Parts: sequence; C-alpha cells; structure tokens
Amino acid sequence: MSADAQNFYTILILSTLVTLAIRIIPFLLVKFMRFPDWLTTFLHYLPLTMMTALFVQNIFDKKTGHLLPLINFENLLAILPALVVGYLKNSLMAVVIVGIVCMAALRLLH
Amino acid sequence: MIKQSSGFKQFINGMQAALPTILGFISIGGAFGIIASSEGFSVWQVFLLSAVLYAGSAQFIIISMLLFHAALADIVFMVCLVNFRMFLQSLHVAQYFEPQPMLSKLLMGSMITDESFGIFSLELMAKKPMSMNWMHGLNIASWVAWWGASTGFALLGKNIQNPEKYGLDFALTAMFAGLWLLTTVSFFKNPNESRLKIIIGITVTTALFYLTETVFSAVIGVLVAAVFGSLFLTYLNKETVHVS
Repeated sequence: MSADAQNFYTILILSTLVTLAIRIIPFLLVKFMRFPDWLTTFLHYLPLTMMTALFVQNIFDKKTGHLLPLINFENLLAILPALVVGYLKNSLMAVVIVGIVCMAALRLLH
Repeated sequence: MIKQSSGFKQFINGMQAALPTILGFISIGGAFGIIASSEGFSVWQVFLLSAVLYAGSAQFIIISMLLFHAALADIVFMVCLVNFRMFLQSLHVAQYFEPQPMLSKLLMGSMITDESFGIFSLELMAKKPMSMNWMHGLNIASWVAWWGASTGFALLGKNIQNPEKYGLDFALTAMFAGLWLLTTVSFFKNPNESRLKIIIGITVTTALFYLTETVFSAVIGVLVAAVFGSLFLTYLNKETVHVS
C-alpha cells in the first residue's frame, strides 16, 4: 500500500503541475500567440473522441487466451437502460444512478 | 473605499452566478467522492484530488487508470491530453482580461473549469461587463462546492460495506457513459455540426480503440483512439472553422 500511496502522490503532484501549466501558460502567451485553425478544430473534437474511448474501454474486455477483445455483456446490459434514462432526463446523475441500480439487479439475478 | 465595496459586491455577484455550477458540482463531485472511496481511495486522497488538482474528468481518469495499473507516464500524459482543452478556454479568458494585474489573472486561470468558462462565454455573448472580482467569486464558489461535495460524499461512501454488492463499483463506468452521452448530445444540438460526421467520428474512434486494444492495451487504446479519432474529425471538417 505504501508503494501505491507514493505512486498516488507522485501522480497528484505531476498532474497538478501539468494542469496548472495548461491553465496558466495562455495568460503569459496571450500577447504573441495565434492558434492554427486545424489545432482549434482538433481541440474542439477532442472531448467527444476522448469520452467515446473512455466509454468503450468498459464495453470491451481483453481476455488472455482470446485473440480479439470480447464484449462485456454484463456492462452493456446495465449501461443501455442507464443511457436511455440519462438521455430522456438529460442528466449525468441519472445515468450513474440507473447504471448502479441495473448492475446491482443483474448481480442479484446471477 | 467606494471601489473596494463595489469590488466586494462584484465578488458576491460572481458567487451568485455560480449557482447552477454549484448544483452540478455537488452531484458530480458527490459522485466522484462515492466512486473514489468505493474503489478504495481514502477521504484525504479524494480531498487532495478535488481541492488541489481540481479537474473533473481528469480526476475520474486518474482513479480509473490507477485501478487499471497504468504506468505513471501514461496517466500524466492522459491528464495533459484531457485537460488540454483548458488551454483554449484560458486563452479566451486571458484575452478578455489582458490589461489586469498578472497575479490576479494567474489565480483566476488556475481555477478555470468547463463550467466557469461556459458561464463566462454566456455573459460575454450577452455583452455583460465582467470584472476580475466577479470571476474570482464565480471560481471560488465553484471550487469550494466541488471539493466540499466530493469530500463529504467520500465520507458517506466509506460507511457503505461491500460496494460491489450494490453495483457501486459500476458508477465509474456509468459516469463515462454519461459523459459520452451528454457530449454527443451537445454536438448533435449544435447547428454547425453534421450529425453524420459525428456518428462516423464515434464509429471510427470505437474501431480504433478496438484494434489498438487488440494489439497493445486498453490504456494505449484510449490515447490512440482519442487522438486519431479527433484528427479524423478535424480532417472531415477541415473547411469548417471552429471558434471556441
């Protein structure tokens, strides 16, 4: 646990420094900086592809002994109703709560 | 003296403008506290991530990647990548407040979030004048709500035993699914976006993840899929200029 804890603090400090730099450098550079259009467009779409990748990471499982990653049907079954309710309610909290409830129900039935 | 009291009033007005953000931060920050504590992180660690790092989705990514036993360099690179959009947001705010004192600007810049930037943009479009004190009020109220909610809910989460039994460990997966859903919906609602291109972009990103995970690992898969998926969308939309 102590190695884990040390890892945690290293990550906390490095991530904070990197994030602070990202937030602060524009205030120092603002006088003589102009973004190329393609970079602006790239940053515009990055949240979409980032969230897509982080989401599907939990849908595919890489298993030893299988050449291709397999679909995690338990996760998929729990997430579909959560996404429908979240879409109708337009709420992040709704996705999380319905997802948790569906997963608890699936495990209870197993 | 008059200037001071009006500065204080602007600060209070900024805090009031943060109200919708505070409500959102209490629910998402609360979710972060419950998820992180159910995944074995201590209340103190939750407080540090929320109060010191203060970067919503990056915090979820850090706990997720730590659980996936990702390498330190991969985690920091991912945090850099996911927070890089703040560079543009900061640039925008920095241009608006350019003549102000640097120390005050740096304090403000270090607390910029998607949400406070969103409120800033709305006020800007409504052509309402904004002062530094107003921005400080907005930022500081949001910041306190964020770490207050995550720490408070982490304390509650610690008292729940066997979180797996109640599906609580699934909250992180659901959180990213929800963030994906709301991001996609906001792109769909944007009249400047082609829905077909968005759907193609999501499909290509998913395929890139699948292929990269097959050859390498899930962590590398996320990085490759996010970067090349976005580059692909940039190529598809190369005629469109996006001003954020």
